[in-house]
Amino acid sequence: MASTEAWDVVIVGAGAGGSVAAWTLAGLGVRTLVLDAGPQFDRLRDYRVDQADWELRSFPDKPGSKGRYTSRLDPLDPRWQALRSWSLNYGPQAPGNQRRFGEYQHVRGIGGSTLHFSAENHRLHPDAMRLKSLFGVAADWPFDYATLAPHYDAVERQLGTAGAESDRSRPRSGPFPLPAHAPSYASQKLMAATRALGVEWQANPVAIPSRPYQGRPSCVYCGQCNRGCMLGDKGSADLVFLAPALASGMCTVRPDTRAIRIEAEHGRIVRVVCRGSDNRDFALSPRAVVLACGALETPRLLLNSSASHSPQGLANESGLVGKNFMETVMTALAGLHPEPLGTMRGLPSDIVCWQHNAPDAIPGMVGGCRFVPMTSSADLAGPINHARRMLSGWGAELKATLRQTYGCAFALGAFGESLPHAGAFIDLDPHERDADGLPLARINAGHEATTPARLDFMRRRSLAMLDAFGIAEIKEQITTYDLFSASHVFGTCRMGGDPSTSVVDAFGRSHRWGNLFVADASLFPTSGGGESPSLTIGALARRGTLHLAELLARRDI
Amino acid sequence: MARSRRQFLRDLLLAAAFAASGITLWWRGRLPSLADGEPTLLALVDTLLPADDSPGALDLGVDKQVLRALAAEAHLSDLARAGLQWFDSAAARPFAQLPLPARSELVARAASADRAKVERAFVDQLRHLTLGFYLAQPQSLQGLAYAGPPMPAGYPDQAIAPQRG
Repeated sequence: MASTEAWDVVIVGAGAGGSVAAWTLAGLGVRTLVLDAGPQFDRLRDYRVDQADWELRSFPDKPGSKGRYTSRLDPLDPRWQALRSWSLNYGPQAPGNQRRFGEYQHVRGIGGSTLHFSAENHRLHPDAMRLKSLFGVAADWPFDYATLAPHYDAVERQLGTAGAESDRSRPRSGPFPLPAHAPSYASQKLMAATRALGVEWQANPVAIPSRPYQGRPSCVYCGQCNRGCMLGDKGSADLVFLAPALASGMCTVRPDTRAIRIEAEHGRIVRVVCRGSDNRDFALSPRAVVLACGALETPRLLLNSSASHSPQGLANESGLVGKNFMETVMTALAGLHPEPLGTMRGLPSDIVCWQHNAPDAIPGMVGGCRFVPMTSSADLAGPINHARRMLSGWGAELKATLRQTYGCAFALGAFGESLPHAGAFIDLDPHERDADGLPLARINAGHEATTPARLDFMRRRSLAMLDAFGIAEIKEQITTYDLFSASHVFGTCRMGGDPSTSVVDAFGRSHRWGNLFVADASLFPTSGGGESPSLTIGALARRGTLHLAELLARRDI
Repeated sequence: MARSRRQFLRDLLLAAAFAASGITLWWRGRLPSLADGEPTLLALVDTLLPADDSPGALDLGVDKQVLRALAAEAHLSDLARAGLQWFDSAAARPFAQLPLPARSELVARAASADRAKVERAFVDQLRHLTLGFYLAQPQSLQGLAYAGPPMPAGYPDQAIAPQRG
């Protein structure tokens, strides 16, 4: 099992965090190997949004591109019946009185979940990083917004983030690399219609070029980011970070390779045991290890790496590996606008309302939210789902109605704060194992006490906006109240200054094992008020790996 | 619902609609085979999406695609066999021999039944499959404000009012 490969750093996970870590380290001349359990995707071969039957296919499910998870979810409270998920033609989406496991929406592979993301590029609200000191709940980040800002700048520059200079929702420490995209026609109409309600919209910052940028073409607004970007303009991690890392000659990327176990001795990680696509094991002994497998798989790997010196799992001296799990808090409401708007056109979420995003912006609770159009992300852009989900009936009448209404479907989404609490955590399933014989991650996701009320606010506000827009009849309502459906997960290896209340330090470095780092959303002490996390993950990965590179250069590791 | 927020939604919609159709093992053995029910299935597909200014589902071979999809999964096959039997026994004559108004009336009855009833689950499933296979074929899209798949052209006109639809 011994390996002769000599790497300075092995990064486990090639998604939003691991790719930025690789780009940062390789750019500094650090010999870096990136492993991912999933495959390499080929955008022209795998993403077929140019085929007649494109709508019948989601983001491609290649061998190894999905993990398996089990769950324990809470019973539902009848007081929140209005939050239940339902569809005009498909009925209740979580029948019964138990919360249902929908999906952990992720991609395993080179580029990770950025391959199917909508490329929203959000900085966290500065106050969302200080919930403990400002409001007495959850935890503070171990540094402030200003500390992270230069890393936001650097990652945005590489991504080619397009945004509006008029955006005052977060302090700008540098200009957006690219100007904002023009809002779609439907979004322009929404902005005008909701003005009377006092709703303020602005361009949603996205890692999608509004003009050619560093070899990437400008977007053609097909709206199908979530099915994979055929054109290669979207700022997925494989294109933007791993490609230059590879070009530097200092980085190697190895798909279809699982990290099975991490072994430690005498205060440091000595070995990463891996299994390749041929199911043969091999071991790597780099100077440092960076875990970037996401908030489910990073704690799983640590918990599965228990040893006599770490009986609760590696780096789990605090007992907090897997704890403080935060999930996606979301509502999405859809209906038909009375006028043809061509809603299939444009970025998936081209404008955003941040008015309720600050932690104290929703009356009566701590934790904010934001609103976005999301017609194509709700998969309502094509004729098939339009007919299936927005229209009733059959026969010649159905065909006629489809001709009249296609382009009128519209979905409004809201994403909110997920506060950490004792009832939400990741542990190892005592019964279920993967093909390698390793226990699966089990998602324990009870609702934090204020979550239903936050969802209720998001739903009511969405209804008011849709009504003002001209959509009085809702045809579909999906909420995470009764459906666990997480595209963003956080918190399971919390960073902090105190080893008794955090897993890693402010750079993502294990408090005990000096050459072990974490660089993914596991680090987040709080989730933010609905911001998409990939930019923050990248900024944290850059900050942590710059520190790691310094330690390597000083031979402190 | 942002997807792959999308993938979850599709899976959920599919799964939730066809659960609890009440088919029990003892009953399964008394059902006609899918092949025996093919004339009924064909008539149902034609009722759901008939020809008008644009081709009907049968013109595009959707019935064969639906049949293949139903046969591919045991639980769908069971549901289809039970559903086809319901449509053939709900009127005095087999469904395929009924005139269009009578067929439509039966489809309406099934579509308004409780979701746990076999006929409702089956007609929902059939509608789902028929629409999917039909609208995935370019010939079905006549008269629709749809220029074809989103790529490679995209929608560079996204910021202005749509030309049609």
